[in-house]
Amino acid sequence: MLACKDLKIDFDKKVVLKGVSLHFPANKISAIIGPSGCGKSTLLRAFNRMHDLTRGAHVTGSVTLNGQEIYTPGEDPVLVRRRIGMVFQKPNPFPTLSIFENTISGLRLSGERNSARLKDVAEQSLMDAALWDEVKDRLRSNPTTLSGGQQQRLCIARALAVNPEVLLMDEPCSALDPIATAKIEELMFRLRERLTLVIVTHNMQQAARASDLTAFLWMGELVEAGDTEMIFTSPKKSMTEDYITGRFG
Amino acid sequence: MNRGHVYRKILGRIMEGVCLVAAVIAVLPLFTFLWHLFAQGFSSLSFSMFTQLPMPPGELGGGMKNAILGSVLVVGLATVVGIPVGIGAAIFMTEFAGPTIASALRFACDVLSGIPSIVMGLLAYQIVVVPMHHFSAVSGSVALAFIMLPVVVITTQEMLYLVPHSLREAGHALGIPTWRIASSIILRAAAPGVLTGMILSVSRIAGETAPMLFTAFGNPYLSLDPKSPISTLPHMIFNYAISPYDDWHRLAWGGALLLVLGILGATLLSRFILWWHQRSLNT
Repeated sequence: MLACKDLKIDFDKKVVLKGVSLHFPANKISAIIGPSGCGKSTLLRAFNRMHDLTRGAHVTGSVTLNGQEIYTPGEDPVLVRRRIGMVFQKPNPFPTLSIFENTISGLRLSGERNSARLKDVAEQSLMDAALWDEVKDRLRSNPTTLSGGQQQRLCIARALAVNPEVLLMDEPCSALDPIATAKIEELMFRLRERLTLVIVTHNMQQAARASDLTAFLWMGELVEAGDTEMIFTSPKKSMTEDYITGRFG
Repeated sequence: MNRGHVYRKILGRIMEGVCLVAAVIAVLPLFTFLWHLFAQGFSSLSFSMFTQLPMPPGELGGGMKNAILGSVLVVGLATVVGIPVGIGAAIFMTEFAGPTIASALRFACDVLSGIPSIVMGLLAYQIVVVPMHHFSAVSGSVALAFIMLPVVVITTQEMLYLVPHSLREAGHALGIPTWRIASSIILRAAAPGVLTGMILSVSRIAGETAPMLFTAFGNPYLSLDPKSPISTLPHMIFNYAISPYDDWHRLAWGGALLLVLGILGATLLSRFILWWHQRSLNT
């Protein structure tokens, strides 16, 4: 289970997240929704310490994975990121590596040299990402020869190859057409059995159909969180209702 | 059409003509130079130029074997040191250093690249020739390495900046250590551009003459000892061109043609690499 408590984030004193507490249970898909600029991506990127790479970013509060604090001083963010993977908005396979090399890049570039194991992991991860049948005959090809949806599934396979406990997805379908989106959502349902999934989306239909839990963020603050069905049918706050019915945002 | 309109049209034509003339003047030196070079140098290009050593003054014939091999040695030594250090520095500046340190280093490189090459020769004289008590190939290489270093750093850095930030993020998100991201992903993605910069920096130093005067010093005999004085192609061209012998002038033209063909070839090669890379990205 991934949880954050009183999480505050500012960039050069400009406060983006004003103290958010949430928990994301294992084997569930949790969606974070909210209008542009509400801080949903900022929140997601705090979970695998991506803000460590941004100069001027300042994170306070706590993030725990299975009760263990990931912001402990001395904790290596590289090791945190191997347990908490991430998929980005725009598919970003490494253009100079082949499809096969992309899939195992997280392992190989972290020192894994056993080629038999790398081969097994590549095949398994591509199967898990529902891409194996489409690429098994061209593993040595360049990933830029794949379609956008296939590239995004390659990025998911690449993240799965490191065997993370949590997979963070930052608007993973916003660059994809509806058919490719449906494939990714199907994949999310299958991955739910072994992972904690957290997805940021600005597409409310996607949150409604593809998540178990939903958190609504507005202006850096959590407005409401709960079962997706409850949020979309009988929200407690009027602001949530206004947002999901399209009255603002 | 009123008179103002006609006047503006004529003025426009005149300005266009002036700019055309300026453009012709701008490229004229290159073509005059190439024409002269081929006219004078082509007849002196011969097999013996590569295989024979210079003859004593007054005797006809001879070649530039010592200078050709000397240039290869001096430039080669400079390259072996200059390129890894330059690429390493560029990676440090783009991937590891904070913005303050990176921009300070970049400023230092910009200043360094503007320093006249003869001053770099003087520096090499001071730190290599003086302690060794004699001129040497290695002191020439040190001077050339100083000259090439900022060129390599600046071109490599520009190429690394062109690699999308999303690839760095992807690498970090997979838990790959920063140095592995830099070496296996970012540098690899920038490789064609970095290679082009390397080729251009080598062709830049291959023609340097001034710093050779008091470092490599020149040598009429064949020497491949880095600790001994050595002849280099541009330096030999200089010596032969200011000599009073017609036969040496002829050889100087031949050597100049050889040098220019080498640099032209390197420039074309670098253009080809970039073109080929662009093409492979688009398919």
